[in-house]
Amino acid sequence: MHTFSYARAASPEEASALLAQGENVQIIGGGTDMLPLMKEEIYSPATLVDLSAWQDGHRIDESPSGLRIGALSTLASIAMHPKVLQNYTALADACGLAASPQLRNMGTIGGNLLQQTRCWYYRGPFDCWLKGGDVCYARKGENEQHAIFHTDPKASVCVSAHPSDSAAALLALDGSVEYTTPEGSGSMPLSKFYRLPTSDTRTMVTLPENAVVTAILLPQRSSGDRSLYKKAMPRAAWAFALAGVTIAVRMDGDVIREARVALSGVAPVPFRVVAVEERMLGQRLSELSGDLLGEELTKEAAPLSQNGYKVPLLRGLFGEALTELQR
Amino acid sequence: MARVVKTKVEIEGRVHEETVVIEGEELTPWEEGHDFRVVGKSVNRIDARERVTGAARYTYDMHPAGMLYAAVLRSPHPHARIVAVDTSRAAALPGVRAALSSANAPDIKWYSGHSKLFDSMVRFVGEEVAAVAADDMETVRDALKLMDVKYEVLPFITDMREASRPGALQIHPRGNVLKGDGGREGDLYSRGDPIAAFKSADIVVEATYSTSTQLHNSLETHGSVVMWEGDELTVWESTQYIYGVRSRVADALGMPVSKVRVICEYMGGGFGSKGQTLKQPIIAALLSKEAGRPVKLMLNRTEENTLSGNRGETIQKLKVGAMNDGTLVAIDLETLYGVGAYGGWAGAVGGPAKELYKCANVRTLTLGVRTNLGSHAAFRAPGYVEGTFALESALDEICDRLGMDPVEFRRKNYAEGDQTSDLGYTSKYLLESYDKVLELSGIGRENKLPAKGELGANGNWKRGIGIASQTWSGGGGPPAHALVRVNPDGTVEIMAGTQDIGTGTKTTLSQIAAEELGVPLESISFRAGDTQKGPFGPASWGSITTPSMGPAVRAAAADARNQLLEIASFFMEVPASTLVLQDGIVTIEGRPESRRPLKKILDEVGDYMVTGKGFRGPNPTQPLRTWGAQLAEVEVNMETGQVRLVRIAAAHDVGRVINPKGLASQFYGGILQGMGFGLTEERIVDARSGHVLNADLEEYKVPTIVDTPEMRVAGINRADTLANHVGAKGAGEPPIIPTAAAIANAIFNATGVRVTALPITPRRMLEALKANREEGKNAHV
Amino acid sequence: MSADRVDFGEKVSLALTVNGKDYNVAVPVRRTLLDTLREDLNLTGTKKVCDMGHCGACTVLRDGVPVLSCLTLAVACEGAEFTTIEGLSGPDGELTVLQQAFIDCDGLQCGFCTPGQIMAGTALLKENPHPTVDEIRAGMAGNLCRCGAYQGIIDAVQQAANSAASK
Repeated sequence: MHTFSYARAASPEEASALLAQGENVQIIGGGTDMLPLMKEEIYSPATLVDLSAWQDGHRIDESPSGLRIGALSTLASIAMHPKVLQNYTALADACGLAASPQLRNMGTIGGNLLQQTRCWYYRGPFDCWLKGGDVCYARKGENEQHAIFHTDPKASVCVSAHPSDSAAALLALDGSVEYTTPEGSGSMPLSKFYRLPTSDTRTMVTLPENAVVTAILLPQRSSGDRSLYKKAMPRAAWAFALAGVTIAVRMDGDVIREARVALSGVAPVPFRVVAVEERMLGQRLSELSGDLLGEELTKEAAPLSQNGYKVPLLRGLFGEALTELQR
Repeated sequence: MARVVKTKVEIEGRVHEETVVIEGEELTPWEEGHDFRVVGKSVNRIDARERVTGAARYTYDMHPAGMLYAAVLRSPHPHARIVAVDTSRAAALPGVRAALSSANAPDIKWYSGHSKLFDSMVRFVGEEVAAVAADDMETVRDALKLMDVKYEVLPFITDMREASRPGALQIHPRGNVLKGDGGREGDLYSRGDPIAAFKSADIVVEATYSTSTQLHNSLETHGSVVMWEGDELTVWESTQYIYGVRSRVADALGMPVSKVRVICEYMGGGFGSKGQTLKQPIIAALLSKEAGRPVKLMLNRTEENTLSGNRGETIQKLKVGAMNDGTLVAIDLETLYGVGAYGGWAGAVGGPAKELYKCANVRTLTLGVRTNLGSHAAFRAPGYVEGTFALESALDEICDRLGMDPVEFRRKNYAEGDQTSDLGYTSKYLLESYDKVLELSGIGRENKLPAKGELGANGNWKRGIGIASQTWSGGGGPPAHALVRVNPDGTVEIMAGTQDIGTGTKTTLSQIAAEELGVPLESISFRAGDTQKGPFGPASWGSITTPSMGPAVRAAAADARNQLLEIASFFMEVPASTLVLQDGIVTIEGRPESRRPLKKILDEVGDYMVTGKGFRGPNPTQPLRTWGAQLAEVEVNMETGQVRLVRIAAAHDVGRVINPKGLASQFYGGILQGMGFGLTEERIVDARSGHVLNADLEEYKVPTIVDTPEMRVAGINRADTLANHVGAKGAGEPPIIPTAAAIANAIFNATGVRVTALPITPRRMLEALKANREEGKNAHV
Repeated sequence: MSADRVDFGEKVSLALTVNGKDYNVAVPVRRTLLDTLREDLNLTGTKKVCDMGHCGACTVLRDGVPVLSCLTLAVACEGAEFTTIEGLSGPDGELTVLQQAFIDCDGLQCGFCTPGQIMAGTALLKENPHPTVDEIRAGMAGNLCRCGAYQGIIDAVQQAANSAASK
């Protein structure tokens, strides 16, 4: 780890001003991704701005329009929050299945959405494309954990798999990211928050310059609406998803009036499968068949040399998720 | 009277003749049915308190005054010549106290003379290039970045198949394939006429099995803290072999062994990898000498997983022949075993084929293959874990084809005696292990295992059961010594140059001493892990510690007890032969009212200290083996390819059980590591750069507490009085051996699909399910 | 700007509260809490295993909550109360019920993960005094043990819960 100068910001506005003032400034919240990145010297900020003392950032507030989750809320606090458990089950699942108890006590939702890929080439001593190099080493290397969607080099040179469980859940729950910049604050839906990296901007996140994430906004959901997140891991606990599936539906009795399906661990960014959503729309939840939808789910999949297994795995996982949702 | 004898000692599948000095007479064995007071009782670890309070000081925790921190600059290339190395910019950094490289390091030979401590040729990513010591860790890391090294990058090989081919790029002066006896490539064993036997066999199963490189991932990394006092050197080392480190360090630095003291009081896991002495104590000693201050040099996790050893990968071409009645007639096994850049031996993968079942015609050939990767090291039952997976998978296949119960098949092919020597075993309770494991699993010893698919499914999860057996050495042998001191207050100290690597050695040996001496366990302190505190003890590897050290400690205790009784005889005015020492009290036999506490008697003789001396006697001529069986029950998700080990039963014949609680822990631990090997653990190497991609604890998946199956374990607990007079065999390695094989067989029982490559990850499981479906489809065409 | 700031390369003077004791130390700004505990405060019970948040061996309690000291910068620790393994036993060295249960159930082998396990278990039992086996597994999932002492660890947490309940 290179040394750095350390500054405490009492508010996101202060942090955002520090971002704008300096060169190579990074923000640290829980530190569970920032510190590993700094230890590996993937990030070597000249200034590290510690936002963790911003008290309001830890709040989870209900309002008539829905739920506002402060960016510094820990994954543990979200997973245990009664309102999240009741109406945003997928998010509670995702936060509860992420990492380990200690990491969930430290890791913040803002940091979780902004975390970098776990690709071993990115994390290792390789000058990979995402870090500014010329090639994606995974594409022709060890890629069994990598993406099966958006793998066409024209779509994305990088074939890493997006690691965030909660991002997939929030995408399916129609979440938005609220942020502040020196020019003012704003928000954007999760579907806009991520995009495939391009050669000019080698990042998956579209935040404006000097923006600090302040909160996650979730629209109101009624008690009949259902959602869940399921995750296949290479061991029973504490692992990134080989694949993760969120299904979120809004119901009219047994009839689906709105459906969202979002995946983690299978594309460079959280991946929404609109074709499946469309086929679910207007159907009776109890009559849906995982097999039929599974076909649709993986239609666009284009696996790499070692991860063809993720296609049946994803279908299987989706089938299990659907069965659970139907219960 | 000292006399010199020769005796055979087997360590991890390799037998050597040991010339040992024996003093005095051997004790008579504790026979079956002996009335024990301490041995055989479950007791808590005697050093557990230190371990649960944080008071235990491991090598990593040592901090002599003025200590510097050190680290090593390592090659980023898998094969390169170092053209130039310049440490001057690093040395000039404020806070840097010493720097070392091939430019200024003494010429210390390494890897059997084929390389040096700092050589100009590097053969794997992670090989030592330079080192630095500084005031704090941050400065050390900054200094490493200031080292200027010019490499001439050379072509390299990471694929063992490629490296073993004729005409392959030679990456080592002695070639890519290890040479065995007579300079021929590989270890060859043969008996009978396998070729003829295969021709006459009713059924032949042939397949290629592969196992992945498993990383030890001891939680405490390898490392050293060193301190010079004049010309004497103290080395705190995280090791399984303090005396081995002492000789290696003394030899490398040209010092008499008496000037080197090695200490390892607490050790954070080794599993075989810490039997060797890596370069760091010597590098640290040189840096420390230059800086004039103590130095700590611990590996980090990436280094640990790159260069401190591993269980080499295997590719096993296995052919097994049997008759329709289930008689096993022929086994042929050819193995490639990855030893990395400098490994000097291959795991004994052929061991199970030679020994586990009765079979007249056997041929095994194991080729150790060098590649440009970190060298392998012993890893808990090296070779046998890998070989058992292949052999037991093939036998399970035969049972399936013959429609024969797997346990019946194994009982039918039971081998009475050792087929490699035509000698009987010292003891063998494998049939009892089958009975016990069936009982533990709830199936019942009279019953057959469920047929393929019989256990059905719960949703997508199919359930199945599989069995595998195990054999392994574990007899130990001389030399091993111990001293027992009885203090004037009646307390006892055992002084032994062994080490407790977390297996409970100090506790087990204290039980043996307490039993023989006739004192309460609580009165015993065990001094281990310090070459200055105890006479020579062997390495803690090969499941040899209890069977080697146990008899030595018992003999020392007997010697001390005899002396104590002589003293008591003077004061109690009866012959010593009529006295009994039990629970710290001396009694005249048959006269309970004569009881006198030991302490009272010792009070009479002031500061006199009784010193008992004990040794480990020679081994019997018969081979010694441990035996056992495990029954695994799994669930396989047919859609996602995930596999759960739900429960497992394990029964092992490891001789007399000294501490049932400690033994159960050994069994649990072996099963967990065997499960990791079978289901999740696999080193991933980038073939284009030679880098290990998952040299960490994130992407390298050791099992978590959530993966832990329900486990029922038991030792058969029959004394092996031929093996040694304590009656114990080794127990550390047997429990890891059959686990992966039992799991693989259970997966077949659940799904009808044979997975021939470990670990059985969702990827491998789904690929096997798919291949099976396609084969099925083709069969219908 | 009111943000307080430590400049590049400086050693930071910190006031830390560990096991109820106040410490003043000067450490490099890039030093973790783990290294500060071990190297500056000589509290070596907390172990360094991976230094990357992948194992749980460095678990300490921050205001009662188990966190990883290897992913915590020391400079960010002022004002919090930390408990390490050294701070659990009583003034005369009496063990906590959980420490004793780890001994009784042999919830350890080499012992290197044990301090982290016990810190996690202590927090788990405080939050949930009567955990089921599944809750124990989930609550202890952030602490790897390479020796495979998990069965003993599960038993130990259960024993501690039971013995606390019987009091």
